Amino acid sequence: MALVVEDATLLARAAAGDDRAFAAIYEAHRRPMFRLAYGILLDADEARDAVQEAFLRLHRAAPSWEPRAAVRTWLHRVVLNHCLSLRQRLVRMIFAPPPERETRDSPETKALAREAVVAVERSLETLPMKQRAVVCLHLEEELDPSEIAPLVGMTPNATRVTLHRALTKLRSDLSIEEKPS
Amino acid sequence: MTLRDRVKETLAAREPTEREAARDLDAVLARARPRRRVRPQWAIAFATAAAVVALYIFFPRPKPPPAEAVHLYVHVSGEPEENALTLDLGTKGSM
Repeated sequence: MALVVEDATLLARAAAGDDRAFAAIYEAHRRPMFRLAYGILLDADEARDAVQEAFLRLHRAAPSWEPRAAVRTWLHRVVLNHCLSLRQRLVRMIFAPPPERETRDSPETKALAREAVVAVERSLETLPMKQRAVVCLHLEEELDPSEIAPLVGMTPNATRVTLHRALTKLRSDLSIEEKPS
Repeated sequence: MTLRDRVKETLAAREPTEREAARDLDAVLARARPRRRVRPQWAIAFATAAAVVALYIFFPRPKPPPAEAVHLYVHVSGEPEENALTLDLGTKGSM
């Protein structure tokens, strides 16, 4: 609740033209939003675009922000909508080149870590986008299926089933043996 | 390493650098600033033109008053100016 109040205070200042207040909100939320967007899109540039779009909308919503609304949940929703929207998917399908699977820096010492990253990405890539969204919200943001359901527009039961399928596929692909949570 | 750890590690590995993140924030703030829709000089010119049209419509130029008399000035060329005649003819009704 304290975070919500703090975000609302910062947004009120941002609405009054305080760019430093908005930068503080950006800094607090940009990483989780990027990870979510990247987990769905599997393209760093597109994920950055999605994050920019979400924060732009947040800035525009700042003057009429409801103080009790959670910025994090609001941003989740906007990022998800952006990543999963049919229009965006069509644009990507038509114009986007195939995503790069190499890391930005590629020293040999990081070869193993890089391979591990690429393996997870390849496995995520085999999942439908909505499953990726559900699995990222669960694994990265640590949300329960009941919290994920309204964000992705599914019932809690359908979300549980989707999540279970996605986790089973990932564990199988990555040869990870652990009890389902 | 759990699946959660591996996914978290993967997603974190692709995060933009601090410099890229700062550039993205600058781009957001630049796009968020209100755009000037009309240049001031164009707005002033448009307002002036509108005011002139409004004045012309609501305050038309006064028509000259109807003539009430005819003044004749008769001067024979070559004659001195003092010999000229001035005739004032009154009228009844509108001309």
